[in-house]
Amino acid sequence: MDNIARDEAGERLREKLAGATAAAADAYRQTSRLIRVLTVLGQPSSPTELVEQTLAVLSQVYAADVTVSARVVAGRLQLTGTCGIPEDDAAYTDGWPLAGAAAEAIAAGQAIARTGAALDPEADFPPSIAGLAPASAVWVPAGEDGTADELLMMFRSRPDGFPSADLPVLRSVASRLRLAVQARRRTATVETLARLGHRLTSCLDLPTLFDEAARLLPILVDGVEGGVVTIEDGVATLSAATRRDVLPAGHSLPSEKLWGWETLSAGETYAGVHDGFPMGGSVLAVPVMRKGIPAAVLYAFRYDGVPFRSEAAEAGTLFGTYVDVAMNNAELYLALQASENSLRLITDSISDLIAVVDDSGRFVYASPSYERELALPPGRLLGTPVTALAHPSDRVAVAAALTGPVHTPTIEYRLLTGEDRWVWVESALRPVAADNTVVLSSRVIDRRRRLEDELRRRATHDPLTGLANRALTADRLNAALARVDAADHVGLLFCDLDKFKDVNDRLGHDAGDQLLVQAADRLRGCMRQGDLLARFGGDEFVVLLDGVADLDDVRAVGDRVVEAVEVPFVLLDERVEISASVGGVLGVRGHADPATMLRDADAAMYAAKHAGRGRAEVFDDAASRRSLDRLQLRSDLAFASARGQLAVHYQPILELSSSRIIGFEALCRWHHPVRGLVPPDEFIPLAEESGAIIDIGEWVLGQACHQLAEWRRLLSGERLGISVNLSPVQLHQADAAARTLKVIEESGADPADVWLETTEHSAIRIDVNEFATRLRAAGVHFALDDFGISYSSLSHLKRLPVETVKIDRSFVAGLPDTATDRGIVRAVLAIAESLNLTVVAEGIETPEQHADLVALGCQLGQGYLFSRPVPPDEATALLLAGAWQPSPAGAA
Amino acid sequence: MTRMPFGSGRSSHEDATAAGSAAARAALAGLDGATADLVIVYASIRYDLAALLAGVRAVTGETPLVGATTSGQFIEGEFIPPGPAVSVMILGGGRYRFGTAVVGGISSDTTAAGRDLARRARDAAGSEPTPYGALLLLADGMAGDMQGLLNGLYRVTGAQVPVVGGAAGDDRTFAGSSVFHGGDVVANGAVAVWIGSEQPLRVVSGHGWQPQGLPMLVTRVEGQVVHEIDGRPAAEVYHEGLVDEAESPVPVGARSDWRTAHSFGLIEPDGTQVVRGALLDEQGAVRTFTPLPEYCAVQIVSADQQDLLDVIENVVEDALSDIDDPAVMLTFSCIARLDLLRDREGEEAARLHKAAGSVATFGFYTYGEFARSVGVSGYHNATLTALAL
Repeated sequence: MDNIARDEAGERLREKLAGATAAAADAYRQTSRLIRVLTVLGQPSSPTELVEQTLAVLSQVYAADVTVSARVVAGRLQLTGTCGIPEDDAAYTDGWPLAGAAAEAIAAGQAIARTGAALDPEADFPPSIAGLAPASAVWVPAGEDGTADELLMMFRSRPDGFPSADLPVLRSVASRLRLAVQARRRTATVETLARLGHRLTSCLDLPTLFDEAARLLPILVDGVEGGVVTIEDGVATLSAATRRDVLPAGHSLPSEKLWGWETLSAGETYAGVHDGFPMGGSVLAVPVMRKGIPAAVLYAFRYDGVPFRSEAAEAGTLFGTYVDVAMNNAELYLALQASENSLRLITDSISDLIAVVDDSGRFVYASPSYERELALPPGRLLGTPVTALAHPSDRVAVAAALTGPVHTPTIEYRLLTGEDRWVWVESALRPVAADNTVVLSSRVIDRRRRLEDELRRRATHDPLTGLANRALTADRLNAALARVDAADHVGLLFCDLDKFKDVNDRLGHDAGDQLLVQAADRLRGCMRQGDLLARFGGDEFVVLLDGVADLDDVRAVGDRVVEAVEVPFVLLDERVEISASVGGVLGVRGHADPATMLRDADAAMYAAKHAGRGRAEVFDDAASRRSLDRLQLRSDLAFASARGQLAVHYQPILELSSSRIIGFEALCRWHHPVRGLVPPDEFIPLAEESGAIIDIGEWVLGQACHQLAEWRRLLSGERLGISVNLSPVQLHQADAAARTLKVIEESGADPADVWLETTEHSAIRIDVNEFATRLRAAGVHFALDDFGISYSSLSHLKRLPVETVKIDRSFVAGLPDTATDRGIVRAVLAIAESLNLTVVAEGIETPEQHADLVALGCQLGQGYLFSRPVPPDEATALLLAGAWQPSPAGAA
Repeated sequence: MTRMPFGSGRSSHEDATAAGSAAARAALAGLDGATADLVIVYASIRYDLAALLAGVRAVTGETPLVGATTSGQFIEGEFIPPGPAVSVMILGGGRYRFGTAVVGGISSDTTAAGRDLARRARDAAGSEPTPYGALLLLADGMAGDMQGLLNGLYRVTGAQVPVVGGAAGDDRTFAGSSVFHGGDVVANGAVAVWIGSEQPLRVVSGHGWQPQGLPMLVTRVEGQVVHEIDGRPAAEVYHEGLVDEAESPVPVGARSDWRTAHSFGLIEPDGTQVVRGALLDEQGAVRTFTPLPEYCAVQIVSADQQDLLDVIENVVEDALSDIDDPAVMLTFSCIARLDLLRDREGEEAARLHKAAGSVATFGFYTYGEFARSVGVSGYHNATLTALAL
C-alpha cells in the first residue's frame, strides 16, 4: 500500500472515530440528564425545595433559560415553581393565560416541542418571557387518569430545538416530579396531623374543641381560614370561625343550603370554588357523621380560588375522624359531669380521703379529695387494687389489713400519687358487713413521717457525706456478728486518706470537705450490694462487709478502695493526688467482738501507713496479736520517761590516729519492767509514730548536755563534744529551734560542743532552714548519720549546714577486704574532703578496720572495738582514763 | 449612545495606602473630568487591604467601590504577576446605572447568599428599571458552592440578566481571599454590581481545552472527591486518560500536584465542555476544585499553551459584537491558565489588548470564573470570561 492510500485510510478511520466519540458523548449526555433529574427527585427536601431543585437541574442539563412548572386553575396557569423568572414578576400572583401550545398540550395530554418559525409569539409566549424571545420551547403535561392539569415548560433563547426523542424522557420527568411532590405533601400532611391530632382529644368541652378544629384544619390543608358548623334537627349553626367578622356567632340556616350538602350527607368530603356568601374562594368541607347524618361540618377556605388538592381532601377526612372521637369524648364527659355534680357537692366538703374497697381489695369508690390531695382522679382509681398503688415494701401489710380489718384498725403505708411521688398515708379501716366492703378513711401523714425519718437519719448519719456514722456502724456490726446462722463471716475495713491534712491546710476546709464528699462517692463505687460505708469523722472511713468468705475477700475490697482513691481528684480546678491506707480484719459471727474488730482494723490501717501508704493491709489473728503487742508497747512508752525506765548511755568517739576520746554519742535506752531492754530500732519508730519522741528527744538532749557540763567541769574546761540524735518529728515542731536551744542553754553546756545528728533517710521534707540557721547561729553543729546508704545523700547535705558525716557501720564492716565497701569509704572520704566535712566511722569492731581507716585517712571513729554505749559513770571512767589502749583481746 | 468615560491606573508602591492612592489618582486622571460612577479595585493580598482601600477612597471619595484580591492582574496590555500590586479602574459618565452590594458568611448557604446579594444590588441600582442589565460578581471562591451562588442570583434576576466575574485570588498562597465593598474588606463574602443598561449586555467565555478520548459517566462523588467514573475507581480512569506531559518547571507557588494540562470537561447540552480543574491528592484520590454533579457526563480535556492563547481573539470578538461603541472589556482569566502558560505568561494580556483594539482591557487572575448567559449554569474553571461595557 502506498503512503497516500495509507493516509486516506487513516483519515477515514479518524473521522469514524470522531463520529463515534460524538455519538457516545451524546448518548452519555442523554443518560446523564435523566439520572441527574432522578437523583434530585430522590433527595430528601420539602415539596417547594424539590420543585425548585428539579427545575434548576433541568435548566442545567437542557440548557434552558427558563423552566417552569404550573397548574391549570380556572382556565389559567398557576405557577408552582420557576427557574429563570425574576422574583418580582407579576406571574407569581396573576399566573399565565392558558393559551397556544400550553393549552394544546393540556388538551391533548401530549408533550409539544416547537422551534423557530413554528413558535407563535402571541399565543405561545407568556408575558414574563416575551423579552427573552425564545427560539425553542417544550410543553410537557402531567396528570392522573388521562386528565392533565399540570404543565412542565422549558424555554431556550438558542434555536436548538428539543428533539422528539427527548419528549418521552421529559414526560417521565414531569410525571415523576408530580408524584414526588404529591408524596412529599402527603408525608408532610401526615406529620402535621400526628402533631395536631392529639391536641383535639385533650379538649373536653365542645366549644374549645370546635375552636381548635377551626384553627387547625386550615394549617393542615394549606387553607387560610377555618370554621365549624354544627347541625341539629336540620338546622346548621356556626359554632366556630377563625374570622369572626364575616358571620355572627350562632348564625344559622337550613342544613341543605350548605355548599355540597349532597356530598356531605353521603359522608364524603367536599371541595369546590364559590363566589359570594359568606366569602368567595375555594372551600373544603369535611362532615363529622353521627347516626348516618352529618352532626358537624368542618371548613377550610382559601381566597385565591385555587382548588384544594385531592391530598388536602384526604387529610381533611382523616382530620374529621379525630374530631369525631374528640366530640364523643367531650359529650361523654358532659354527661358524666351532670350525674356526679350532686354527689360532688357532698364529698367535696370532706377533706379526708374516703374510699370503699371491695372484697378483692379494689376501689369501688374514691372521694374527689383523692384528686385534690394525691392527684389521683377517682375515675381512674375505680377497679384498681389498693395494693397496686402501695409501695412494694408495704404491699403485704396493706393486703393483710384489708383482709382482716378487725385486727388492724389502722395502718401506715406509702402510696404512689398521680405525680409519681411516694407519700405516707395513714388509713383507718372499717368493715361493712352488709356488702363485704371496707371503708378506708385516710390522711396524708407525709410531713410527720418525713420529719421522723429525718431525725432518724440525722442520728445515724454523717451530715457531710450522708454516710453512716459510728453509732449506726456499731449497731450494724453488732447485728451482723449476732447472725450466727449465716455460714459466712463479717469483714471490716478502716480507711484513712493519706495527706488529707495537707489538702485541708493548703486549700482550706471547704476544699477538704469537698474532697471527703468526692472520696465518699468513690468509695461507694467500691461497695458490694449490702455493704455499709461509714465515716467516723475526719478522714476516717469504715466499710462493713456483711458476708465474706475469708480474708482474701476483705483484701480485695481494700485493694479496690486504694485504687479508687489513687485516681487524682479535682478541687478548686486543681488536680490533687492523695492515697488511702486501708486496714482490714475478718470477724467470725458469734465469736468476734465489735470493739476488738474496730481496734484491729485501725491497727491494720496503721500498719499499712507504716508500710508506705497507699496500700491495704489485712490482719489475721497472729498479726492482730502482734499489733496488740505494739499498741501495748506504744502506750507503755508514753509513761516510760515518767516511770524512770529511760536512761542515756554514751559511746565514745575517738581520734583514730591517737585513740584520744574527743566526744560521746548519747543514746537512749529503755528498760521495760516486763520485756527488759527494748532495742532502740523497735521503740524509736513507735515513739515517732505516737509523737512521744518529742518529749523523749528533749529529755535525752537535756540529760546529755547536763552530763557534758559535768564532764567539762571534771576536765577543767577541756573541750569535749556530745552527739545527740534528732528525730525529724522533732524538726516538724512549730517552735523546734527555740525549744532545742532552751534545753541546751538550761543545762549549762556550751552550744558549740553540741552535735545534732540526723539520719539521712529520715524524711526531712519541710523547710528546716529557719531551724538550722537559728541553732547554727547559737553555735550548734549538725552531723549526718548513716551516710552513704541512701542515694540522695548529697541532697541532704544541702538541706542542713552539715559539718560532719558518719559512715554507716555496714561499710565499715567490709573493711579492709571487701573492695566495694572500701571503695565507698574511700569515696565518702574524698567527698568529705572536697566539701570540707569531718568524717566519723561508725561500728569499728576490729583492729584491722581501725588500721585500714587510719590508712585511708579517716580521722574519727566509734565502735565496740573502743567501747559499747555505757552508763554515765562508766563513760566518766573512760574519759578519766585518757586515751584508749588496745587490750590483748582486741575489744574493750 | 456615547462612549463611556473611564480611567485606569496601577501601582506597586510598597506602602498600601500610597499604592492605593497612586493607582486611584492615575485612574481618576483618565476620567478627564467626567463623573465617577464606579470604582473597581484589584489588589494583592500582600497589602494591608483596609489601608489600601483607604488610600483609594482618599481619592475617589464616596463613589461606590467594589473589588477583590487577585493572583495577578492585567491592565491595558500589561501583565502584572502575582505579588504586591494594585490596579484601579473607574467607570463614569452615567451611561450605565450601577448598584453595588455585599454579603458575608456565604459558605453557610451560597444559594441564600446569592438571592440576598442580587436583591440588594438591584435595589441599590435605583427604583427605575432599565430595559436590560447584567451582574458583575466577585466572590471568595474558597467559601463553598459557587454554582449555588448563581442559582440564588438566578431566582431573583431570571434568565435575562447575564452574570460575569471571578473568584478572588490570593497570589497562589491559598491563605484566603477577600472581596471589597466601599472601605470594607470581606472574607467568606461576595460582592456584586447591578449594571443597568439601555441596550442588551453580553457575557462571553472561552477556554481552548480539547476533549481527549471517550465520554464517561461520573458515578460516585462526595463533595470535591470523585470516587467512581463509569463504575470504576476514578483514579484508575483518570490515569488512563492522561497523556504524559513533558516535565517542566512548576511556576513558583503553583500547585505541583495539579496536572494543569489535564482536567475534566463537563459535557454541556450543546456538546461543549465546561472545564473542571482536577488533581490527584496525597492519598491518590481524584479531587476537583468545584464539585462535579453525580451522574454527569464528562470527558478528559487537555490544552497546551497555544490552545489556550488561540481562544483569546474569539472571546474578544464575541464580547465586542452587538454592543455600540464599547469602551472597556472587563475580563477574568483563570490562574490555571497562567500556571500552564508559564514562560509565555505575559502573552495573554498582550493579545487581549491587541485584539480589543481601542477597547481597554482590565482584569485579574481568578480562582474560578463566572459567565452565565444561557440557563442557570455559569461557574467555570480554567476559562476566560468577559463583558464589554
